[in-house]
Amino acid sequence: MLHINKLKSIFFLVLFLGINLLSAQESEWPPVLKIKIDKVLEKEYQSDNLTFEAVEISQSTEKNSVSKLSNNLFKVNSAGKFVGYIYASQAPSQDEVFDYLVVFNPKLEIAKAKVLIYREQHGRQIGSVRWLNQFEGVTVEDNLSLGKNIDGISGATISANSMTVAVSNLLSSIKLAKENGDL
Amino acid sequence: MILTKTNITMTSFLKIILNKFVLVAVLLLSYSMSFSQSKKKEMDIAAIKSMEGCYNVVFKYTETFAPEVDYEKAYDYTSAGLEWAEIIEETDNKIVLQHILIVNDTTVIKHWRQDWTYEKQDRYDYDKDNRWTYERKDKKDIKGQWTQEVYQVDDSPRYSGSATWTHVDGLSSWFDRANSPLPRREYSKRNDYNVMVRGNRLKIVGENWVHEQDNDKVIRKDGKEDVLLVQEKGFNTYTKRPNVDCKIGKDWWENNKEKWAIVRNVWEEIYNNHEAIVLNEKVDEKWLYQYLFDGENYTQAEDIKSIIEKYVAH
Repeated sequence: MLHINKLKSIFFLVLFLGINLLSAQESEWPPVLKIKIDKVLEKEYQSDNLTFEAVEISQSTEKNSVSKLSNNLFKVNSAGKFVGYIYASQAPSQDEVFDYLVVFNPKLEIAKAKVLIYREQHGRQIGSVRWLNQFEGVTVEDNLSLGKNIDGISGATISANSMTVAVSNLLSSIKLAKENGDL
Repeated sequence: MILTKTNITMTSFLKIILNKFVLVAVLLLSYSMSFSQSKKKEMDIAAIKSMEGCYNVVFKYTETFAPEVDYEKAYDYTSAGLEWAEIIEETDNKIVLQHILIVNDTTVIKHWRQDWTYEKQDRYDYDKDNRWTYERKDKKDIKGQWTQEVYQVDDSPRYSGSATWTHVDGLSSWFDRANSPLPRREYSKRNDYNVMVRGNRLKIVGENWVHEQDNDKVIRKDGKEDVLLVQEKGFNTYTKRPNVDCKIGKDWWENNKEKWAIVRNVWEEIYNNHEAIVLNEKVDEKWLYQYLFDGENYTQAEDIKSIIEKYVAH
């Protein structure tokens, strides 16, 4: 009986790993999010012929990076030519989570930061282009901090801080991935 | 109680007096109501007619609230000029104002036209995709109201709405909501929405007036609810100038009004069909106004009729 249970556990473990391995090859964005990401990227790269390829992240990077890069970081090709990376994930707002996207150029500088889906009324101001423009041009060598090199927004302190922390963590994680030869 | 002859006579007399009193009161009340209604209509007419004249116009638009956090607001739009507005038709129940734009004091452009009609039952409402539907309202729904019908520079339909003028504390104002195509400033530049639901508020204070707007830019699809893309505030101010400052515009209209009367008549025939109107955007790669603004060709009634009809899909 114990033997059968062990076999069952191994079967489900293999199934779970297999699903995760497959999903790492392509994005699992919900349709609404996919539409929004496509819209941003079509505008950013002035192209509707974009393909995404999940970046393979080494165990060492995955273990030591603050942000989860696997299955969230993608290489972007426009008509077959490498044009940069994108990272899509979620961060907490006051009571919910919001979806955001960060676009990197091939030199790993932030080309665009965008809040894509926001799920509560409080703190929506972080979606403003004027505020998000502060992230443009930032490199993996930079440390970001709300109130120091990123201006806060009245009425959106929690979400503004959350986005700043998320981007700052992403920069250090990307830096690590680069150092480990993942990028 | 015993009724005597005197008692009966007194009762009859009192009844007659009471009946007469009621009759007089009813007559006085109805006279007073009709007087105040006609007085109100006079005030409405005065307010509409006060939009005539020469004005410094400043157009300002800014996008305000968007339901989606990732919407990137368009740049603000501002523009200014001199505008001549002339009453070109007036009857007891209708006033037509033609606006003429004067740019840099030298260039004259036939601008929009607004027709005001009292208790108008028929009008065209914008649907989408260059289609206007015919609507007939019940008399009781438009009682005391004025319909504003706004036309494009080529006198094709734009939008219309019906509402009541109010006159309070020295301010005359009129507000309605109307479906319209994209405004000219965005018509050929944007395709992320297809209907503008306009909130039109006209405010007349003294000799100046304001066209304030609270517009919704919406995505309209058949059988689905409108999806709001973004809201917009519009603030168009008309500040009075001496009429002589608009002489160039006034003269231009004087020289061109006969041609445009023909244009209006052609459209009137189309509107009188009381059927939905679908317009072609372009004919031979040209907008209708490009043909009609041609001062040399399209001056004769048959040419004007022929070119307008090419734009009417059905």
